[in-house]
Amino acid sequence: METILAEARLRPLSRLLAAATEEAATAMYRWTGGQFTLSLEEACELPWERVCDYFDLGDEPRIMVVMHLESPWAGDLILVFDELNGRQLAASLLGQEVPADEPWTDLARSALTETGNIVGCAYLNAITRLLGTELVPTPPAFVEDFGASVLGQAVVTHAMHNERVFVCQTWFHREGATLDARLLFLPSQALRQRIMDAMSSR
Amino acid sequence: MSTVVVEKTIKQSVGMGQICFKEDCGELVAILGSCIGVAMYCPRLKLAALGHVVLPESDGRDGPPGRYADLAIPYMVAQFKNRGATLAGIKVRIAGGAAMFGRPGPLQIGINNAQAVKNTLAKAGLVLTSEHLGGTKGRRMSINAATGEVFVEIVGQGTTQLQ
Repeated sequence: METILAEARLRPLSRLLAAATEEAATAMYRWTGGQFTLSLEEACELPWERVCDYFDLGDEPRIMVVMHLESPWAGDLILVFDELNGRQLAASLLGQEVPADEPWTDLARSALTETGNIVGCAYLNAITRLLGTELVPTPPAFVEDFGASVLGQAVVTHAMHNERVFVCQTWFHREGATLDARLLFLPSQALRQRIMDAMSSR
Repeated sequence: MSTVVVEKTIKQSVGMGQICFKEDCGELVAILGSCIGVAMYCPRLKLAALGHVVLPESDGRDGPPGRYADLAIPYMVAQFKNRGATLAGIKVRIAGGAAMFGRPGPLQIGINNAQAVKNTLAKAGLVLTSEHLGGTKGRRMSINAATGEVFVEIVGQGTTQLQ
């Protein structure tokens, strides 16, 4: 696709994000007793108008855990689950049956938020260590909303200053099967450049 | 990328920065956060438009008109006039402008977007029929080209019809 940044330029970023994904996958594996893991799907850069279509989160409500990175190394980390996979993950963590179609309990919200915390922090810790730069995330927030509304909000902050947005997508797996559950990472232009500089000097 | 799409398919998504038109039948749908959905409808022509405005001001930047409030609304009005509509015959409803995640701080793009859209509508001589703005949640906004009905859905809060 012509709008995606050439692979060669992305290679340093991809190397770092693969390391971050590996650390997050290990954390997820431990947290879920070996049931769930993660794999890096793609890292690409595209015009900001195209991000929501490209990563197609549909127009149905999604369950998300959102963390924002504060300036100067800003960015957004969004865990996105469809309703079923979100409920299955929460239920397995709590040792319960998957509940029928009913509102999310505080306990289930907390289980998913803690998942975001563990996976997100492992991911960001790996980046922090490789960059030698501290990243400061906000506490994870549980969000039940349209996926495109949340992803769009993350994109808007980039759209104010840049024409293109870098997005890294990581999928969740359970017992070998890929789930409708993913981790999206959108670093700001400044953070992306910091990563590129750090990795190219290695 | 084209920002103006006229189609007669049943349901069409309006992405960020896009302006889409439909005549006679079908539905236009936008998923909004801090963006503003601008729905215009001419009952006489059965012409519907939905703009998915992302930022308040173009500030001299290039790009499709649907991105910015100050360019999107004049563009939409011109398209309606080209098809024979009058300003008085256009019904305008807007939705969106949320402060997603309730983040505090001086940069509240949703509020800025809403204000910019209202200012530009007034400048264009259009009367705003109804609005559904603010809050901290996303919205699904739709307009039906056959009837002009506009619906706004918020997750967990149901669906509202904008008059």
